[in-house]
Amino acid sequence: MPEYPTMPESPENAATSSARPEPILDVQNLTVAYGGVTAVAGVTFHVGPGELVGIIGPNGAGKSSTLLALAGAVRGKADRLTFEGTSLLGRKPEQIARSGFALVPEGHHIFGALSVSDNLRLGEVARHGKGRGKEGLAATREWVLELFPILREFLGRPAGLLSGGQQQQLAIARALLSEPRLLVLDEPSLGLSPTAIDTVFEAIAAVQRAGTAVLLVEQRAQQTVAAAARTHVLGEGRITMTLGPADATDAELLAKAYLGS
Amino acid sequence: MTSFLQALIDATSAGAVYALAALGIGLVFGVLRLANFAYGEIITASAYTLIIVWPINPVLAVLGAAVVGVAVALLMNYAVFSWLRSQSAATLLIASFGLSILLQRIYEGIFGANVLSASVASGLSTSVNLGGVRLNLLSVVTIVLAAVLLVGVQLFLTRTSIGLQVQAASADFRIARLLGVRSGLVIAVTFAISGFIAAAVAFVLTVQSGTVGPSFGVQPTLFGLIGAVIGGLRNLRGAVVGGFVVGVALSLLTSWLPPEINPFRTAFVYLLVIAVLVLRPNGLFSAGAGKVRT
Repeated sequence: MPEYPTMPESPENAATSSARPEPILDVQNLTVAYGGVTAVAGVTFHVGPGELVGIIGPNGAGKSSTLLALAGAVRGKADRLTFEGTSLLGRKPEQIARSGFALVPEGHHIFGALSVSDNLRLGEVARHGKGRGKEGLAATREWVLELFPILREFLGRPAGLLSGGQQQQLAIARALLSEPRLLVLDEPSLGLSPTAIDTVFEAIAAVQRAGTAVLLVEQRAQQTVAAAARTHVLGEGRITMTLGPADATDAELLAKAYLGS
Repeated sequence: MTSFLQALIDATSAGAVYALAALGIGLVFGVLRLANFAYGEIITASAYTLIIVWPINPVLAVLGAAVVGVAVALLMNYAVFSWLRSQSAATLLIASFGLSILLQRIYEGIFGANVLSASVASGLSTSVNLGGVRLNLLSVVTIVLAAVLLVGVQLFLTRTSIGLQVQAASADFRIARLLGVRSGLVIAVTFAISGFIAAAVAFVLTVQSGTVGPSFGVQPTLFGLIGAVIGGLRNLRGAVVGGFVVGVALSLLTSWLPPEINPFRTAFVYLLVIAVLVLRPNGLFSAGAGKVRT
């Protein structure tokens, strides 16, 4: 079992180490290369159950490649890459999605020709054969629509007619309907208005309060660092720095995180 | 007037056949970006079943044709196309060409190069008198059969979970998989439905002709594909309408062209295709922004 440098353990309390919860997502030395070009060059981090972990960094830092490798959409190599103890390496995206891991990809990618309601139904596909039964599904639907009331108004409307912010809400709602234990978001605030960004960040906080772990990849450093237990700064495929919530007010540090030290 | 109505019904019936072929081709194109030239060989397999089994037992022949259509379609998927899923559309297209020719040679080896004949559902070849208008019963049955299948496929795509997953996979396969849509299952289901539709096409065409040869399915597939291209291959509804238009055009040209140029009627259809593709390269129903898709 890997040990984490965050909590040194003396030999006598090693037996009670199960008190520290197993990470729900464990990434050790992940690399992703496209042809000869390395996009992710050995990234190590973890997400604990119910935790919100952030990843920030400039364009091309390897953020999306990291997430796509976790979701099985691109091939990655790693010393260890597990979700709830099961290796994600070599598994198909649909298998990973059905195991309680939901990725909201960058650019939300809703199905524009389908109704909002059908988009949400597609979110339930990954829930199939597990979850909390019919009553549980009704409760999840209700919770998701309370989280994003605007969607309830537009259920019968083609999703392509929604605004950018509404489409992002739909993409997150769709992912939540699979009742994931880890919600992974790739730049959910991209291209949204300030009001829409606030709605999305509030929803993310509510999801975490409900007990779902969240891995949030963002360009909006300040908001992410403030919300996350840990925020890893990614630059040129490597983690260059890890920040805590207290660093959110340190404008100089955030600027340095982005520009590279 | 009477002959006009009759021509109209016959044209609608011909349109219905190619609309079905276009639907079968368009469904598979949607999920796999494969314009399957070997679709005709599914039709041929079902047609052989009908012609051979019908004299023994008509019910068995119809059921058998449906089963064979679905089985051959699934076999094509698992034996050939599932191995090429990550290849380019051009590779898939060439593979389907090769498969088409291979299957025609196999049919020739098994059943001979000459056509087999049997009178299939000869009762449908009669005409019925409807208020002074003589209608070909087969034309009416064809239209009803096509309507039932079109509505059935539409209900499947919109009302069932797996149908919705087919729509999602057609729109964006990568995103569909990230949502847990099983790629293998969705593709197999799509092939199975397209095989069933091929069997329906085979039924109508064997009743019409009473014969089947190794290249029986080539022509309906070609016209179905042309229709689908005219309508826009990426738009299922457009593909069906495109197939219908091609069938109607062929039938009307057959009825109305003077006898001396009638043999060249298909040339006029190709002329229509060229005109459409020059004016609307993405098909008649590509809807500009490309947002409206089914």
